[in-house]
Amino acid sequence: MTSAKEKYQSRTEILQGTLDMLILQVLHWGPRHGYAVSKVIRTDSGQILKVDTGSLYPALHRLERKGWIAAEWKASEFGPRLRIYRLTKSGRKQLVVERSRWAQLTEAIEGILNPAKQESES
Amino acid sequence: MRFPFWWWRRNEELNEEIQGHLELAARENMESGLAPKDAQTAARHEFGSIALAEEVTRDTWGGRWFADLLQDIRFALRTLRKSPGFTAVAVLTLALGVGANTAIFSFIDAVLLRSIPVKDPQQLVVFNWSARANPKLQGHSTYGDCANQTGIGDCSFSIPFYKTVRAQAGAFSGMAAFAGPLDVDLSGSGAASIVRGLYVSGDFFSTLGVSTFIGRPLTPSDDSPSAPPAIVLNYAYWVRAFGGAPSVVGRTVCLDSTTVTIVGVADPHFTNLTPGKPLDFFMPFSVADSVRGEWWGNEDRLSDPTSWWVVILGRLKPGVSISQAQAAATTIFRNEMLHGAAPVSKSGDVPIVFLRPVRSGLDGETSQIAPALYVTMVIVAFILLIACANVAGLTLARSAARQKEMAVRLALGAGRARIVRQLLTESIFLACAGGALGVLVAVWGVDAIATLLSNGSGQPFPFAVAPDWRVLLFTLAITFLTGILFGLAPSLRGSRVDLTPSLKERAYSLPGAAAHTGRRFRLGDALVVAQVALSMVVLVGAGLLVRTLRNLHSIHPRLRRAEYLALRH
Repeated sequence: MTSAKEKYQSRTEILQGTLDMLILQVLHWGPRHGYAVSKVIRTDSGQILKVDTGSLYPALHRLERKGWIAAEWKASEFGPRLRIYRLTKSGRKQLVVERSRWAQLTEAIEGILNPAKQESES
Repeated sequence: MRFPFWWWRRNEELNEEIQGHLELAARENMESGLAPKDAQTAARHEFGSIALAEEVTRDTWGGRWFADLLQDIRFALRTLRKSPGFTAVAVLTLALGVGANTAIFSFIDAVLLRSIPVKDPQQLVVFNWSARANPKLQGHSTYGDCANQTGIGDCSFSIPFYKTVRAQAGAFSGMAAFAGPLDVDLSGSGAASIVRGLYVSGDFFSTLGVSTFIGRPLTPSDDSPSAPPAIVLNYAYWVRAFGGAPSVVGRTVCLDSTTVTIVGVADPHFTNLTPGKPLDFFMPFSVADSVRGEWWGNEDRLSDPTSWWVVILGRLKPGVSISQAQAAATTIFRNEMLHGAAPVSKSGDVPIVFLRPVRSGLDGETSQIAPALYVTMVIVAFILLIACANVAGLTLARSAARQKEMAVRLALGAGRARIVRQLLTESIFLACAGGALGVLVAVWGVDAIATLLSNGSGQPFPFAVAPDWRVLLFTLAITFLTGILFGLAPSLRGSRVDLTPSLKERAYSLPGAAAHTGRRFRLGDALVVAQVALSMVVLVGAGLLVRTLRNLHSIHPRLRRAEYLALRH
């Protein structure tokens, strides 16, 4: 059990930086339930990125703890209430920060992968 | 205390959140054409392990230790249930140890730690006098209010001196005097009975800041010869003798053939000033002539400056120190003693007044009971230590038998600290069970000891021994301390397992076989040595206690003698 749990946790770690950004970005478009967040990420990435539920909920709760997203309960037309997450003000700022960091990162990786192109550009 | 509830609610919400997730997924599956049952199965399958997702999410809340604790407690319950013999012996041993300690501490709490139930007791001082030679007095009585006095002097004064100090000393914002309590015949409310009444000055209630439960307190106007005689009942006596009927206010009763009116019932918290001196009612000094009058002969104790029998209390004005007030009181006292209407001392006798805080000044019987209580407390503490050593020995033997379990857990990657914590949880859990049972032992023990102590005197034990928050806190503290004390060594020992041989050769290791290991052998030996040593200490202590108890038995007779003794010169 421990090893299975560690597997989940290590995957969370790998994805953590980007997963947080993705969640913030999805919620930027509007409040959503956890299931909807995972579905949007999956469909918008063309079924390539599949968010594991063992990473999604810890990430949502972590972001909520940091105050970047807020949650409230909404009644649904079927059984259980739904926990709807929305982006907060500080979450909006965080999204900008994460996006610029992501841009830097991709630029840097791009520079390594295609050094000639970058040299010619600069 | 709030934390567990918060945690539980969070847990349930997380569960609901995930149920919502599954529901949404299932509905979508149904829309794409799956049968409801298949849709749900598919959603669940897609989600993966719910338990795992929940556990990893819970970790982000920061309540991890609590979840671990619950897990440890569940596990401890399971393992303890598997060895009922060990559990029963350990719990019973601990219950005796904790129970004895709680019982004795209840007595210490009741006799020595209860605060004096008046307003701002730290401002209140009690007058004491001392001199090099005894003053020439007509009468001199004490009622056991100030026990620990050495040399000549005590805390008895005359009523005229009390009135003089009240009129002259500016250091006090209020004064009060009292004497007794004395046994008085009471009739007029059913069968005649003997009750204990305290003489108080008219300003007693106002100076002490004691209010009444019903009716009114005694006032200075009650304390005059022309006033209609009035008394105030003590709350406990009111409940006991009058069934707590409010109609008691305004009723008249006969005290030694003097008719008096009950005007009020004192506040329930105010039982008595001097610990260990139960009383039933308060009466003003003005009735002293007729109530218990024959007992004094012809002398007029209310106006005779050479008849010393009342205890004087003063409430210090804010900003006045004890020594300032003491100097002022001594000047008045010396003046009365040497140059008053009836000089009772020579200037060479150096009569002085000294003031003591009421908390330590009015110690009554406590100073005599205290040594016995302290000795007993030490003895029962040692008994608890012996109980700890016993249970530690048992746990040690058990940890030898559990070596394989520990080895498996270590091999599976459990940290040593985690295992120590688990074993400690087990011992503290045992200790808590012992402590809970111990409280029952204590309840029984308090009754037994109170009966034992009062047997010699024929009176009920004069202190109300009832568990309060202090006693409960004490029990809780010693319970946890006990759990750690008897659990720590075996836990540390139990977690230090050499993996390979434990898993292989000693698959069926028994306590006896395991005793070959050097370290455990030494630990077990040390426990036995400690137990023998502790038992010796307890034996010696018990011997001491018997002596102290014998002294204790003689307290009540001595007190009674003092009450009825009026020295005549």
